[in-house]
Amino acid sequence: MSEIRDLTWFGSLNLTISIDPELLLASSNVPQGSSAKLTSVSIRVPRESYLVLYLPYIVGRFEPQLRNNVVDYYNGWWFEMEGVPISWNYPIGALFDSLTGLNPAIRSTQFCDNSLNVWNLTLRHGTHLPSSVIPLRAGSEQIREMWMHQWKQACFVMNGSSKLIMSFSKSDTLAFWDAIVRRDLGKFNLIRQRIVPEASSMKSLPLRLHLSLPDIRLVEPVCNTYDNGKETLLSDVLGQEFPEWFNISSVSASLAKAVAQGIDIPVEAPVLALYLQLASFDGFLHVSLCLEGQRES
Amino acid sequence: MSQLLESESDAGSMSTNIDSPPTGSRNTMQDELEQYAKKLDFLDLDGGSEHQSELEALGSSASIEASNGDIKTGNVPSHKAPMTTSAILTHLTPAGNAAIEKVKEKELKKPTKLHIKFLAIGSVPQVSPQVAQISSSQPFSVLITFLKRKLRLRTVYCYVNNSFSPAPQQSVGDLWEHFKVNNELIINYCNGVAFG
Repeated sequence: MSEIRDLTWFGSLNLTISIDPELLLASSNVPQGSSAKLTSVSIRVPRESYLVLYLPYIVGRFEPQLRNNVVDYYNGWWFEMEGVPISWNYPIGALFDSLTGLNPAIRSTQFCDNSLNVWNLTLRHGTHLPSSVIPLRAGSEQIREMWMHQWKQACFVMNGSSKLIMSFSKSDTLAFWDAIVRRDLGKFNLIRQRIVPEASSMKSLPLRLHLSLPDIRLVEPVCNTYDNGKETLLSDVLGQEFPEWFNISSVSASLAKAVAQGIDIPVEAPVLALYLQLASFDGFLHVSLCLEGQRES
Repeated sequence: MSQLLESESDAGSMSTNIDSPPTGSRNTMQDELEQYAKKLDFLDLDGGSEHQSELEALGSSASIEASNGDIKTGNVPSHKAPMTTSAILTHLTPAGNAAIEKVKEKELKKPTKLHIKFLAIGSVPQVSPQVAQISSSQPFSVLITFLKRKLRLRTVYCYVNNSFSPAPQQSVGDLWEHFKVNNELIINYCNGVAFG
């Protein structure tokens, strides 16, 4: 089990971030010595992180060619995929899985040995943020606080209150975040295990379902760990929330796939087992629902 | 972040689009243009909205006034998926098409009304009436906007059950289902940070 948690933690994505050309200097004004204009930056980021944590680096790379001086490396910037603004407050991996809607089985046949799977995004800036993006007024500190509240919410769902986290010392809280930023899995697990209770005393499970179609939506269903003494299965939850897509009596008749951490997960598995192995760094198990097309079946 | 692997590409390689799936032949040019037009309309609406303060932006479509405890809201903002992702809609199985239509219909159905109880923390005035009604499909951000307007405050910090602030995109209905106390979702609010 810890092997799967390791793989989850070290999962990564290749991003190519292009800059909105409107933000660049006219080509005649490019500082001397720089041969070609930098219009995109490629980086590999952990799936288990927030996109906006990389803003200072990405904006910094574009900075010498920007039309305006950079006042703030967080505020006013946002990412888009094909013109669709990205809500940064979910793990990068969950955003990728739901927004691209890719079926992992098809993806692996499409991308072979000598090709890379790259997610193309656009970096934009403006005083009016799109309505789905939370303004970042207090930089990385705001990201940390938002993340901490996600954990408190997850803690409430699992334990019936947030007391466990609220009694953390300041240094524990900061060390927990530090583990995310420095990618220290050992340190992260030490603190995480103080929040996630023993399987037998786990009340409910923090589960988030991401949909892209017919429109982008987040659903957080109540998912009790046990139902009449039996572990709740993912198919129970999906069949109840989305009976149109998930057929409880016959899994093969389902019209959509459940994807977590970039893999096609078995819907007949107990949610508890999925949570313990695949939950994200914000305390939630993020599951993206991807529709299956005719060609794939 | 120390593991950042990086490389860069210059203007010449910008057009390499490794990730784009083969475009379906059934996707006619006209379909694409129509989708683009819709997308432009959508973006324009957003850009034209009044100056928004923190978190308020997420509930921008909701015009709010409370008369006898009923929080009136506009349509829930809807966000369309990227074009290459929605391309799959053109080659769903007949059963898949029927399912998508059903999901859309379900969204249009009138949502249920829920009770919210507002409790002030510290020196902030208590909002009146204390218990309000809101439709379950609204995002949490609408409650923040509501309190700000009602109390004429620039910022309001909201917590569920004196514990955490939820993501602004989360639906009030989901929060109510999870955290209700005596069939009311309890929102504690303050003009400063109360629970860090």
